[in-house]
Amino acid sequence: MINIYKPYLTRIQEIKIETPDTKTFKLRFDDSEVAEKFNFRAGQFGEYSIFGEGESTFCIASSPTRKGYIECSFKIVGKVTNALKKLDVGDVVGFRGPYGNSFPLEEMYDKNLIFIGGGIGLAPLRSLIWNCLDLREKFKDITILYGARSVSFLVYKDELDEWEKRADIKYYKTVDPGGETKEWNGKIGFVPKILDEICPKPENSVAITCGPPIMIKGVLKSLEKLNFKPEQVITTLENRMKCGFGKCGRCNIGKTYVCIDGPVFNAAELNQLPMDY
Amino acid sequence: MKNFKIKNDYKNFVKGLLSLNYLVIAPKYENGILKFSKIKNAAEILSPSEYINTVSSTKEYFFPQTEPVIKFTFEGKEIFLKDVEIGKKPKVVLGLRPCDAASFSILDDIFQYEYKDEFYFTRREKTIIIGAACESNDESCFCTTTGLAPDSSQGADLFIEKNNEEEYFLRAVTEKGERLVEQLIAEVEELEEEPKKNPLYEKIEKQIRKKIDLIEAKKWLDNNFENEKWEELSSQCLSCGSCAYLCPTCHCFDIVDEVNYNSGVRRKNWDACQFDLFTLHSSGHNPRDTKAKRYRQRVMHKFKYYADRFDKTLCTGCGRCIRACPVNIDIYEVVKEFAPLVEQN
Repeated sequence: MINIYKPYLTRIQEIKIETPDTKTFKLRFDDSEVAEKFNFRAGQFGEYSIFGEGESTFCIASSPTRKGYIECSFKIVGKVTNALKKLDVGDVVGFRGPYGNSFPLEEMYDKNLIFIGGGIGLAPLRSLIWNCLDLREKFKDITILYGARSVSFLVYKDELDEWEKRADIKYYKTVDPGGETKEWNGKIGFVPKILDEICPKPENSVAITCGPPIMIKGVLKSLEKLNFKPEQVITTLENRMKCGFGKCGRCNIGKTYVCIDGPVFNAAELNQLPMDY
Repeated sequence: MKNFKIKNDYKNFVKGLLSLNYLVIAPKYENGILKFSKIKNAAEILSPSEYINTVSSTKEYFFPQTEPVIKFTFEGKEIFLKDVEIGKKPKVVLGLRPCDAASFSILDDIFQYEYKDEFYFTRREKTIIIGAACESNDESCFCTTTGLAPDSSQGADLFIEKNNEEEYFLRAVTEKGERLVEQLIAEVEELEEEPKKNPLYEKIEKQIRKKIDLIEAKKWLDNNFENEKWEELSSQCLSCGSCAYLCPTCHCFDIVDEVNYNSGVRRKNWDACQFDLFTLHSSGHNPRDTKAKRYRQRVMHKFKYYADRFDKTLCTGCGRCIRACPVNIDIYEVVKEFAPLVEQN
């Protein structure tokens, strides 16, 4: 019997403390055959679990081009994430996945990409960003705008520095007013406002955004003002999930299951959904 | 489709079934509550004329209220997973009404969509469903609205009806059903002709609450996600979830871990969209944070969303949610608020 609820066993290889409330785990599959065969696409997610505590839904935050491991970043808020934060290198984490659709990578070839992220919403974008950077010649300009409420809440700090230094990326960072430090050399202001300032051109471009709902709302408005068509704007939704494969009935928005029809939607598709998310 | 007369009485037929080494599940009173339970001897069986319907549905025999999906043990930091065995004994679920029998063809769709839930389907494959036509109804029944009737055999492998002479006969609806009858040849006898319809079933069909036009209902739902009616319709709701637990087609569930010192089990447990924690995000955001939104979800899922996805209504008109609701919310009356009755001649 094929048991769709049975997780793979993975082992924590590395732990990174991203912010006061966010950690990243690098996980390697225990079973070498699984490790070798495992494939996913940027934008997909999984059900991560601690046995005895339960499962939690996070995206796969690493790039599919980096083989042999997956990474997840999680904010410590609930029962499972509070248990996850106590784990050490070498501990076991259950993983089911990959689930859901993915970013339309091939449709982005030869286009300008504008990534707009906020807080831990950078996690799914990070998977796609590295995916695109590893295939850099396939894309035109790459712009990254990333913000957090304060400097200490910026995630993937080493990678942000790397993106800032690269000549083939236009990189902008911002923190909410009051979230800056003395040393801060980035912008100050909410992400949508900075997006207005950067004023990316819609011609031959795709904007990919993820962040807190309030930020996404602002970003969608800004992009509309900048004449981006809804089809040019892509985001990834999060709804509470349990099964991850269209059975348990809690992530649905109308007839749409975020877990199998999503989590990646363009703004045109979002406009079709009832306001139930 | 072959038809078979039950030679002796109904109890003898059940005796024959029990002798075939099937686990027989049928309506039985337990502490005054009529529910589907294991039958140990034929004396316990109720004939189809002795009950209207059970309090709970038969879904628990395919999709149990709580069910282990994986077991695990801890040895230091190591974790070992162990698969869960599902009972191997073949089952017969006997005497379920058309509204329960029809629920399986509806649930099959969701449990096999993209990912096949083998916990559900292993039980489906091992179970033979013997439906029984309704010989009475009550004021909550509304199966005709969902396209069923007191004598619909949809979803059953075998179907029990009364002929004109008030004798029970079996209709073989599927091959699986026919194979079972072949083993019961001492109890049954094949009929040469199609038995005459007993007028009883038409009489009951007429007694059942009038048919609502669900096509019109869906049209209204298509355009009324935002409507102040939802507030009004749900104002009495206590969010107790009885409706979902008793419903033969509600299938939402939770996944939780239970743990002892050195072992544990991950379980699939029934859940309900009427509970306020159902969609609560860990961030505090809740897409369905009011009763009105949750009740809207229930009605929309049953009469619109499921139809949009699978072209089926997620309701069989069994009336259990109506009988059980502590504050008398009546889904038939709710749908009638926004859809007309079908004109009958």
